Amino acid sequence: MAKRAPEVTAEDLERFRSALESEIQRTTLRAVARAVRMSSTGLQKFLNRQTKPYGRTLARVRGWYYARAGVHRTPPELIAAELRRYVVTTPKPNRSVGTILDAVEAAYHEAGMFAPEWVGSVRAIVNERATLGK
Amino acid sequence: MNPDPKAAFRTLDELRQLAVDRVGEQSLRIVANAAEMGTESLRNFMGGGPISVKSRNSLARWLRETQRHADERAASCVGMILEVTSEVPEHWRMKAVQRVLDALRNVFQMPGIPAAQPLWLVQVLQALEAEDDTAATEAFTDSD
Repeated sequence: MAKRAPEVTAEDLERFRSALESEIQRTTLRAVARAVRMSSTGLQKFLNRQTKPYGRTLARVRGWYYARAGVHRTPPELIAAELRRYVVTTPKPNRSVGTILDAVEAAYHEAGMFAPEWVGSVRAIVNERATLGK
Repeated sequence: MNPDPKAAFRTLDELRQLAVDRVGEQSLRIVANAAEMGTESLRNFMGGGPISVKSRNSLARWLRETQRHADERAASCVGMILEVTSEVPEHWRMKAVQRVLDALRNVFQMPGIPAAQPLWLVQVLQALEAEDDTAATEAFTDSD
């Protein structure tokens, strides 16, 4: 049976760790563990790279990350890679990411706002890849 | 200890239906390869025919793995959709989420893609509909 690509990459885990560590410096390990809905010991082990979260724990860490840190602090290259991962099975993944970005942009415009800066940065990366045929 | 692959599926009919769903979403060849079965054996099973114990086990194992993968991907995708729309004001938020979701559905309806949407995307739709219902219920409760 072919092995599937993991749903969480080492880079994702590092981003989660970095955001968690910043939050712990601002508050406490216990407060952050409570916010993530993990035990303090479990969280400490994850930060020390003694464990890699799976399933429900991973969903909690990811949920916390998206709620507290999120895409605005994420490098555009990683956002592009994350969006591409969902549509990689479509015939033209870069174009598919572009369609998602169009929708995000339209959603902000509809609310009378400019789209966040990251949308343009990610679009530039995706367009460049499409031009290079990647 | 390896879990019993049969345990995840209550009946052979359930296994058959899941196989039909996955073939609609991917293809007969992909599912047959993944489940280490011949395409004819799989076609025969989906049409109501019998299946060997070995094939049943390998198909069940693959379907369970597919389900787990879809669960993880759906959870991550819901997070992504909520995140990319996180700065949209509350009043417009549901519409923004719906817009991104529609875009995602549209890209899986392009020519050259199997007719059925991926399992994880179906789960994303269900999760966001449930979230929508919860938000609507909360709004209703708040207005009481």
